[in-house]
Amino acid sequence: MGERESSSTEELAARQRSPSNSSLPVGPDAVAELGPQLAGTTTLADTGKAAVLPAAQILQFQRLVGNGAVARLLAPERASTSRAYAHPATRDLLPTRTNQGLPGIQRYSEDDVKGRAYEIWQKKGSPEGQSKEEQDADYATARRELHKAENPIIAPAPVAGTSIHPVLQRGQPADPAALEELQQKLGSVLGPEAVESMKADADEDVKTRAHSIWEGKGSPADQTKEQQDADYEGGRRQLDEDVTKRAYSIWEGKGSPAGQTKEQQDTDHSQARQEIRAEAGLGAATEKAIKEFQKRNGLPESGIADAATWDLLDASGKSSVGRVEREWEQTLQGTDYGMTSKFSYKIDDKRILVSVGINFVPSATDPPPDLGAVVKKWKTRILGRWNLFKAVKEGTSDSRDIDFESVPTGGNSVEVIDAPYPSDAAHWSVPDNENDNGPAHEFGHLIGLADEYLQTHDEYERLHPDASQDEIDAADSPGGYGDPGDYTNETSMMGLGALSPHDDRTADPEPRHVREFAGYVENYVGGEWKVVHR
Amino acid sequence: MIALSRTGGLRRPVFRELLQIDDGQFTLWRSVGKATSPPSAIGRFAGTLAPGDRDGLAEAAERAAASGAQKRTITPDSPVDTFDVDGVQATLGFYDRGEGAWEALADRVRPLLHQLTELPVAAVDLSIEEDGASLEHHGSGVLRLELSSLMVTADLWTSGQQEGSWSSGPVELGKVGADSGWRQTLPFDHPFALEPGKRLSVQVTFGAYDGDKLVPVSLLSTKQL
Repeated sequence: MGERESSSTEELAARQRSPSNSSLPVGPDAVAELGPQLAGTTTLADTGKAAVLPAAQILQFQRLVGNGAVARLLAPERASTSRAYAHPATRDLLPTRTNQGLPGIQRYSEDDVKGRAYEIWQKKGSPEGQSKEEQDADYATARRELHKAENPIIAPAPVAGTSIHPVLQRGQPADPAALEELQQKLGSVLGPEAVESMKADADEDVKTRAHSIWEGKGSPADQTKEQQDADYEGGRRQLDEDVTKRAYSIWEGKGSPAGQTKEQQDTDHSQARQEIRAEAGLGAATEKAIKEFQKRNGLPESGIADAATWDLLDASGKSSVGRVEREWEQTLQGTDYGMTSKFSYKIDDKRILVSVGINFVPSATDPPPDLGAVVKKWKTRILGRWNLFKAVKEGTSDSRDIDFESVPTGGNSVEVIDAPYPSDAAHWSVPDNENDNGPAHEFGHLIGLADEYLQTHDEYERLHPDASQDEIDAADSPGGYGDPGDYTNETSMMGLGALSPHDDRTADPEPRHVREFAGYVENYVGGEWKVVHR
Repeated sequence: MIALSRTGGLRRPVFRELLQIDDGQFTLWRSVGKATSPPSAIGRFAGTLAPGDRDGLAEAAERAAASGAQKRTITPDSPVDTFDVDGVQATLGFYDRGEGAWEALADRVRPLLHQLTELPVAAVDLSIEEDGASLEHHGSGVLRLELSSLMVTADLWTSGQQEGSWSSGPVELGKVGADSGWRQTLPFDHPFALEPGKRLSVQVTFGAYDGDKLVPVSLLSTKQL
């Protein structure tokens, strides 16, 4: 597949230089296999390596036939036996640009390598007269470090046909962050008028309460204008009371901190208002805006923010807030593993705060004597492991810390078991997780990362493109007990680094593990962003 | 024929276990002693199911097979339980009870992985005494063991909180064919003050041969002081 491979690689390199270019060549294999499946929805022609597919068409393929088929047929050199890695085209197309499982593309230049090698030489005390081997070793280390910092592979692709966002529709409660993200993205695409009109949805919360007041009076049919106005006024008062009560709960949830500033109180009220709005679900104005967006993009005008609508919104809209509920799967040694990872994020001038909801539930049969103490210890270890990075805009001093927090609500439920049973992403054993990095590893799953400890040779090489043959051999079934062909990544938090002692930092998460979150900043702020250690 | 194989998991050693039941007779190979409460032995086990265990098992298996194969998505890091009834399979995660007829069968078969260790052919268990810890052979057959990089770890707990942790590091105890009466005292020079009310948890990892295949195994034992 020589010609095709080089063409695809060139295309990928071009993509790196120009993120807005989102297209790929089509070959005869793709036409033969994808064509019949796409019959009636689109036409796929063998255009050869000189032609390209538009972004929307690749999106459509992924939705219809899944990431695996698209990856295998459109860029076979990058396809993997695991579905953990999606097609590179998704980088600039699918939700938030960078969260769909990314290819190992070299973004650093030879000048960067030279610069890093020079720093390594300086760190050694600038020794004179280094041998050729020593210089080569410095260059190899530099290359490896740069790759580790920039290699953006990790987050697995969502299951074909699903969205990474919750479906939002009238009459159903919405996640507050998802609703705000939807409105921001719709507003950024449809313009200021849509933004203004969607604000009218807030009136529905007053109307609902006014209606209840009217019903409480026996639903009189012939109310005067004054009586109707009085009901509305009552509705406003009720809403204010509800917001105040909710804000008080939010304050209690933070541990009832004394001496909050006016700004902090306002933030609590704003959050309370947003939550109440979200509980009521989509308003009529937002539904109308969705229909307008769907009409403009040739989608059925359902007024429902479904997977297809979200995908196109993600490709064209911007938001400082987001909600991700990604159902993903990973096939390891013939077994399908998977889960739905759920988190919200919020970007401001200083950071992107990623809120991961973890509801720790004591086991019915083996509850820990002091759940609070166990959870507190785990949270400290998790955040100590993950809050290490910041996103930096290329060529500027603009940066945002990538901060994670664990909050009690928001979706992921973890059973805490005080017995020597095995742990998994949804069941955490107290003795299992006492000494190692298990909680930080499982947290990685909750933010959407796949396992790296049962990899094939090919997958291992994708993550470690600069590894020598000796290193590859050493990584193959280390310890001699595993089966040949098992690559366990013992220095990766998502590999068997999970089992290193909790105070051993050799298995800290790597920048590539949090590349997705720099992608959200990139999507909102614009420009090219990379992840570095703080 | 009914079979349950339990494999994988995040922590080492991974599970590599197989239970086979045919007309009330069973054979079991077990490699991880800690996934039950209380923890129990590893090695080879065989015998006849107790009448209480046999009752309804064949019927449950027949219903499961008739309902067709069941393949569930496994939670990341979970060991994988594969149930097989005459070639029809269901694949479940460790904590996943499955659905329908397979759930009923899983509820009957899973406890046997633990209960049947009462019938050892060639098995090894871990015991903690006042003055130390030891491996002990159970049954009448020989179990070949690889103890050349055996490791003992111990944790002391007070009211659910870990007070201290200790490891022997790799210890060279060679290769042995453990048979009836075999006992191996383990290195146990931990620094803990073993006071009443505390709980001592000891784990030992080494290798054992399942036929010609060397399998990493682990044993756990806890003692309320």
